[in-house]
Amino acid sequence: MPLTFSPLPFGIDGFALGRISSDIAARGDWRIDPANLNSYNQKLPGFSLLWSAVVSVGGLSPLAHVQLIMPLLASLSVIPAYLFGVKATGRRLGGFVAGLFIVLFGSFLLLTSSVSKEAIGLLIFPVAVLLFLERRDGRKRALSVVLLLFLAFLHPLTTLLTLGMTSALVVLAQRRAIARGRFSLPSFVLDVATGPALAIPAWAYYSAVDLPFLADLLAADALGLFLGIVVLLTALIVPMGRPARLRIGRRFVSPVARGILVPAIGILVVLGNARNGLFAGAVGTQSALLQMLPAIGVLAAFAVAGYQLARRTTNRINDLVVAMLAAPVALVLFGLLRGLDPESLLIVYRSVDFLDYAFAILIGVAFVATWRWLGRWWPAKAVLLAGFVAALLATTPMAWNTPAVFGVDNVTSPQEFRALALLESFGARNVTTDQRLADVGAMWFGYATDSSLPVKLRDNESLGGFQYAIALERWTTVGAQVHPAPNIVISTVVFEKFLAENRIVYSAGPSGDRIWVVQLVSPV
Amino acid sequence: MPRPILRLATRFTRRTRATAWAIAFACMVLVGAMSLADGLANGVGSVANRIGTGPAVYIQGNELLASAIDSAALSNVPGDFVAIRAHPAGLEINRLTLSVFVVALESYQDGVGTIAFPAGPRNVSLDVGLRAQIEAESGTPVATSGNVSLFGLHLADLPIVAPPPTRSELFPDNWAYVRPDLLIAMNATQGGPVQAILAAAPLDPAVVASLRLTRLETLGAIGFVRGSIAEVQSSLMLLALVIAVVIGLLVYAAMSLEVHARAREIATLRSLGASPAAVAGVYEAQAAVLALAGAILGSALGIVAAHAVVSFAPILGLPNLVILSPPTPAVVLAMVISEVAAVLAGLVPSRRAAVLARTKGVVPS
Amino acid sequence: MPARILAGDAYLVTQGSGAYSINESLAENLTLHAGVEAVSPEILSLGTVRGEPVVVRAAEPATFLSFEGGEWVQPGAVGNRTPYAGEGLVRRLGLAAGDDVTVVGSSVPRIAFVHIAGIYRTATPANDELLVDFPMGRFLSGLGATAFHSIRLRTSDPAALLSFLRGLGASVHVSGPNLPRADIASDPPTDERISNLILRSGIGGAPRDYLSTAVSEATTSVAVVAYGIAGLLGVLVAFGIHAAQARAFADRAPAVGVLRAIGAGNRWMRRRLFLESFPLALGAAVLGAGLGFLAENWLQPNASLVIFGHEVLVAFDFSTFALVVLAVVGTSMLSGLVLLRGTLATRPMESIRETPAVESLQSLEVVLRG
Repeated sequence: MPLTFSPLPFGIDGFALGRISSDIAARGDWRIDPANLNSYNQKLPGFSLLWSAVVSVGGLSPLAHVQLIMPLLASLSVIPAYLFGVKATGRRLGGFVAGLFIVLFGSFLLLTSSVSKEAIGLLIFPVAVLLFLERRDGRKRALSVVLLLFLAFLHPLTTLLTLGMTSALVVLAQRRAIARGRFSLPSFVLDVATGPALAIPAWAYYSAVDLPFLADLLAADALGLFLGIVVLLTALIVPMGRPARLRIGRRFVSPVARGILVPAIGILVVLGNARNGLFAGAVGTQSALLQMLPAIGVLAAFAVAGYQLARRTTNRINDLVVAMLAAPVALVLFGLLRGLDPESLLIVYRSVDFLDYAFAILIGVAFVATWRWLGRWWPAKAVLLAGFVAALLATTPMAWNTPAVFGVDNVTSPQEFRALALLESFGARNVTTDQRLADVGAMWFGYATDSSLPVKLRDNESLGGFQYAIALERWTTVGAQVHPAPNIVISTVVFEKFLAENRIVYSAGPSGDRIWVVQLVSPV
Repeated sequence: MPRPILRLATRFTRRTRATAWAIAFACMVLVGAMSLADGLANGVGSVANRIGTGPAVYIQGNELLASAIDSAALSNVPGDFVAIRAHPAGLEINRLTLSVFVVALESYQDGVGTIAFPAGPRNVSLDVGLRAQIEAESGTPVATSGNVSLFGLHLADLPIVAPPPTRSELFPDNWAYVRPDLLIAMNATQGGPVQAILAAAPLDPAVVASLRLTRLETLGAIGFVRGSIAEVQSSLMLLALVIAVVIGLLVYAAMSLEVHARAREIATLRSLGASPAAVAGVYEAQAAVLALAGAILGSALGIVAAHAVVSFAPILGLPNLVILSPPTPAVVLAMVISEVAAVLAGLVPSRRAAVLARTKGVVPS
Repeated sequence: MPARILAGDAYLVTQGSGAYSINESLAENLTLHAGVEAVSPEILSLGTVRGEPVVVRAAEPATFLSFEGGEWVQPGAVGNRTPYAGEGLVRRLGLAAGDDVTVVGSSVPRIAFVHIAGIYRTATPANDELLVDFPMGRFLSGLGATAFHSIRLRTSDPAALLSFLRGLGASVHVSGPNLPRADIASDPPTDERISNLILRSGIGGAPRDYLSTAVSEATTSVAVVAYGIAGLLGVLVAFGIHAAQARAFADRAPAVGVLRAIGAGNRWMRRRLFLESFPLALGAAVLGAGLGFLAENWLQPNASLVIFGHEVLVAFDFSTFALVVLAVVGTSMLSGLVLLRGTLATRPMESIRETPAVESLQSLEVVLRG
């Protein structure tokens, strides 16, 4: 879908990754330059190394073709979901439903459509967790170790969450062993060494390269909070190693259960963010996302039902589901409790996406149970399937209409790119524009950019110190992007005055969506 | 029999889990309360430091007018500063008797003091505000001479001269300025010492310590907030200690109940041949393990609860400056109290029960 | 500043987002307005006296005392330039009439000396303040020659007051008893969460402009910590009540099972629970709250609590007492109902034997395949 908007990477990270891949392919080596604007992504070379290898072998363009591989990654992500679904239900229908959820659920689709490190991370981490779950086979354990080590070079958040999931699996397994009197210290040590202890090499690497993410997490108060949440969740999941007892006469699925609290709280948070802007300085929930809540509610109902079924029966996926829920929930709680600022919002919404595989399993279980319960009532089954697909399709605007749903634009149009390229040809050293174009200009073209032009125009401040500016006509309608803050709408009068007072060197685009490159004239 | 003791000690039933949760909630309150109290001081203190302070004014004690810094020691103070002598006095002028404050300023540069104004040894320079007050109250222009009562002495016919040519923004406009020599001549004991030192930059801490100086915060809001937080914090710490005592009692009560409820179990172990020491060991170990588990869980709950309070308060209209830091002292205190209370609670009843079972040979009631 | 300190029981007019309006001209106009009974323009400075935090208020003494319901303990020579100290402050700092003290600036660096001419007494937090004249107040706060921080007033017709202020074109916020905050020729007070983030993180430093925000957020910080600790204690109390009741109820679960087995209905069981536990809970709550109040009284005045320069006065507040009793009784009843509900949901034999009757575990695959 993003390819219908623009052939360029969907999401600004794609430009940084493309630039790094291009440099690796050109130079033949990978290096970290702390002075480089892309140094953060250079420190996480997993995606770039893989893509540069593909580019070198296939003779592809690092930037022009990177968006083309995203559908491949998105389709590959169905495989672990299918495996989970079949493992959970013992039926291919379960695998089909789980895979369908993964491929169509809007939030997950957004991530696998964007050129980002997480796109590969979301493909690798479920495999790593599944291999760790079946670690009795030494080969699977070894492969999970390899994947966990690789994740550290790919994306720190994915690494942290995957390590959290493996830790939860170790806790559950050892709790069961203690309860059965089969605790073995060597086995425990091996589990820890091949699971949670892999955080040590990751930490060592991140410390060596001075990764900013690590500093935020290991700040004294943040670490204390994180450890507190880990202790609490460990205490909470320890009893989940065994199925929940079902009193005689009770059904497997009941509409009123404690499990309903979690999606209820989630919806309250989303609604609260719409009303009051929970996260200071960040954009609130957009109305388009609120319109999707009924569809999300339907999917949540499936997930709650599946959760109750999974917890009240013996099965092969209880540990997997608990582990895949516990780690992202821990990080979401961390994001909410560390202080409601834009960085917390980032942690929360990024962590929520890692719940999707667990949801896929639970939804698959609930769907199969419902399918079976409907027996030979084929019209009802058709309605069930159609309703499920419709609910999923209703969430797809999250992937292809991000301005309306999240208040952020991920598309870089060819004309915007041309404008940025033109500035490079001018030898521009200092350019001011909005946040999105400033990031693209810095990440791909490497010149110094500033993202404060919309604020300065709104507040009538001086633009001294900048050579050029890029302005978009849509700043007067939908507003200029200054993520994570809400868009700034510039008045037409101010915008036209700005254009009139400076020298336009380039103009392109259809009426209503034009772009100008402006050479700033110093005030007399 | 250490290994069987450990196995028995780590056997958790529904009752023991409830006891652990009780200990956890008690520790949660202690750790949470101390965490919030510390965070209050941290946050407000760090913001106050960043906002900065006014000019560096030093006094002895906490009241400038009661301060007495040895003027002979000022020649050893490096850098540029102004020595301020200030005393309440009575001024008779224009047929009025006013309570005023007489101030003498002496500028020091590299240990050498100079006096800028007033010029004459007996001159009294009235600042513009004081002049305006005199003219408003008397209805006549300010006279050229007046009487000053200071240190119990009465000086008559002192020349009243023009206001000072410059005045620091720090000072009001209603002071009467004299030369330091006049104050010293009137009373060397009271007029000799300096009340305050006004420096452009903070003085060397060694000098501050040697002269036993304290800094007077001239930006009152900073001092107000710091002082207020210090008061609140001391109250909160007292509250935390009270909570600590309550926790100790709670843990003791919970563990005692636990042991009493298992009297039958104790009797069974005794009848199987376990010595009183072994029986007591089982319950001691369990008490310690339970208390440790409860304290760890409670500390985690307290940390999370404190963060939740601080994080969600702004949404409820309470943007705040509480900056939490790892509550290590609170966690250590919670653990120590829980362990001590639990060990005591496990020791006394279980020994008594074990001894009873041995002497009477029946199940204790 | 807390509304209690700023306004007391009167209506309060403070500066809005427009041009500076709280000045002598507005005060004079308000004084002349027919519906206004008393007007007290004031300037508030936060500082220290002898190292202790003190609120220094510039106001006309007689008007100030009428607003605070105060009286003179030792009246001095009444005049515009004569400072007075509240009795609470005098007691706290060991001052007396005739003493000279040093005061400092609030949001600007200042040093000044004041000669305490008299002492007043009020039953409000103003008992801990230092009252000075307007020139001194302006000097300490850095305000302009005719400006004030706020104007307190008494009126019997707030609606007329608001329309009068609108007619004057003043940019102000008005608040008071039974009056929701009115913003006249002004935007509502801005969301301080952004400036709070800047103050907390230190990004961009903290210019002096943020001082007033920092002070107000420091006061709310104390409120946050107090509420937080109160909440934690509330959780502990609730858990303690529930744990004690659960312990007691656990011993009576077989009795409940027997009663249900011989025909006692759920409603009868709940009524029985209420009749047995409500008097105990009520008695315990009243006893506990009463003991707490007595302990507080006994501790005062040796262990008085001073917050932001104002002593927290111990007073028996019936509504607070009733709220505490209600909370404890409510928690006890709720806990009892929850415990009973759990028992009522089980079969009588399960209660009698104290072992739950559970289904044997089934495999998920079997459930899904049928």
